[in-house]
Amino acid sequence: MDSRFLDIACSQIAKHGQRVYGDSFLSRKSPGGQHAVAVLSDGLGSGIKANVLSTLTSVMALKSVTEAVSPEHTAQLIFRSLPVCSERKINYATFSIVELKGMEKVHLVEYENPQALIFRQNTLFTAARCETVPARKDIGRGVMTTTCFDAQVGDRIIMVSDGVTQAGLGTRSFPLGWTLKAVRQFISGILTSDPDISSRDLAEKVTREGLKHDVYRAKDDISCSVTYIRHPRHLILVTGPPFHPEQDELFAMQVKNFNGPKIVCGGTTAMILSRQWAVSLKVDLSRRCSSLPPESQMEGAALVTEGILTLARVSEILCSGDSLWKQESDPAQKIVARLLDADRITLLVGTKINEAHQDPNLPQELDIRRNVMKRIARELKGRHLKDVELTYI
Amino acid sequence: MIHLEICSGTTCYVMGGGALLLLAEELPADLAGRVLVTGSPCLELCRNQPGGRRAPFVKIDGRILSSATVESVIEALREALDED
Repeated sequence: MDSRFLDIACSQIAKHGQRVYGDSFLSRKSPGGQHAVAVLSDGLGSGIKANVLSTLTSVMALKSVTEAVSPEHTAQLIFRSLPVCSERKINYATFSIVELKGMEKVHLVEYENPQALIFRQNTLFTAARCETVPARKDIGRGVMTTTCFDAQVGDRIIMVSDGVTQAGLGTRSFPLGWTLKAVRQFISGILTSDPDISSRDLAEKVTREGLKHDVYRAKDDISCSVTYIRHPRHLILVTGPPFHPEQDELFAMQVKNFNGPKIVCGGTTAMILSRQWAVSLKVDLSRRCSSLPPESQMEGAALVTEGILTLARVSEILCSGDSLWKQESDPAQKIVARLLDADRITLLVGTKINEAHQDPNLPQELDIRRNVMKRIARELKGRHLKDVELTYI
Repeated sequence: MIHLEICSGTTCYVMGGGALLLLAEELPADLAGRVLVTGSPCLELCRNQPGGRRAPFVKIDGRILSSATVESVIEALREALDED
C-alpha cells in the first residue's frame, strides 16, 4: 500500500457576523495512514452554541471510531445521546463519518447532512446506500445512511454542510439554493480541468463558490471536506550546507536524484548546488517583496529562496493555522503552498553553523536552523498530517 | 556598462541590504542605463573578512564594497564611471 496516500483537508467559512464556525471537522490518521477517520458535524443554528454541539459530536465520533467502534454503532450512540431541540424535535447536530481501513475499505455513515459526493477520477461514483431510521421517541424524523465500498486510487469523498447546498437560497440566481446537484456539477467541472487538484484547493474552491452565491455574506456556516486517495506527492526541502565541506558532492547528488520537486532555502546552499550541478543561479529582482529577500532561479529546483528569515516565516505561517498561506505572493507563502500540496516531505538540513549569524548585532530572530526546521516538521506532521522525514547532514 | 552585484544573503539583507535591492529600479538619472544591477543569493563575503569589513556587501565590477548603503553605492558607482 506504499503507493497510496490519504490527502484529507477541510475548508470552512463562518456565518456572516459569527466569530466561530458552527460546523466542526476533525480527522485522524494512524501512522502510515492504514486507519483514518474524518468527521464533519453541523451544529444547529450558528455561533458558539452550534460550535459546541458540532465539536461535541465530531469529537465523540472521532474518538469512538478511532477506538475501533464501527461507524454505524458510533452513529447510533451519538444519535441516542445528542440533545434534542424542544421545538423542532430534531437533533442539535447532524454529522457524516467516513472511515478508511487500509486506504481501501470505505465506510461512510451520514445523519441528515447533505449526501456525501464520491468521485472516481472526475466522474460521480454511486455506491450502494443503505438507509435506516434510527429509533428515538422524542425525534420526529431522521434518516441514517450507510455506504460501503472499496476505494481506488483517484477516489474522492467530499462532504459538505448544508451551508454549501443552500448557499444563495432565496436569491434570484439560486431561489432554491446552490443544490447538491449543482455542487456536484461544479466539482465535476473542476476535476475535469484539474484532475490532480489537492484536497485543500478543491475544498477551498467549493466554499469560496458557496460564499460567492451568498453574495459574500455567508447565510450559514459553509464547510467542505475532501478525502482523496492518491499516489503520494514527494517533495524535498534542503537548507544549510553540510557540516563537512567534503560532503558537498554527496549532498548535491542526493538532492539531484530526489524524485520530486526540490526547494532550496539559503544562499550558500544554493551556491553549493549551483556549483555541483554546474547550472546558473540568478536572483530574480523583479519579484521582490517588502519583508523577505528575493527568490532566485536555478535549473533543477522548483524554488530557491533565502534561508533562515524565510524559513522562520514559513514556520510562523504553519503554526498560525490556515489563514495566512492563501496568497502566494512572497517566497515563504510559496514554500508553504508547496509543502501543503505535498504528501511525503523530506527535510534535508545541513548542520554547518553560519559564523556570520553569530554576530551579536544581528536580530535574535536568526534562530538556529535546526530549531526552525524541527518546528516546521512538527507542524507539518501534527497539524497538516504530512509524512515528514527530517534528516541532518 | 558597470556591473553592480548586490548580495541578498541573510546577513547582508538584515544589515540593510534589503534597501540596496531598490537600486535595481531606482538608480539616479545620471546612472540609469549605465549600470547593470544584478543580485546574488550570497556573495560569500560575510565570513572571515579581515579589517572589520562588514555586511552588507556589493561588488562593483568585481571590487568589494562593504557596509554598503544606497548613498555609498551611488557614490562608488559615480567614481567608477569617472574612472572609465
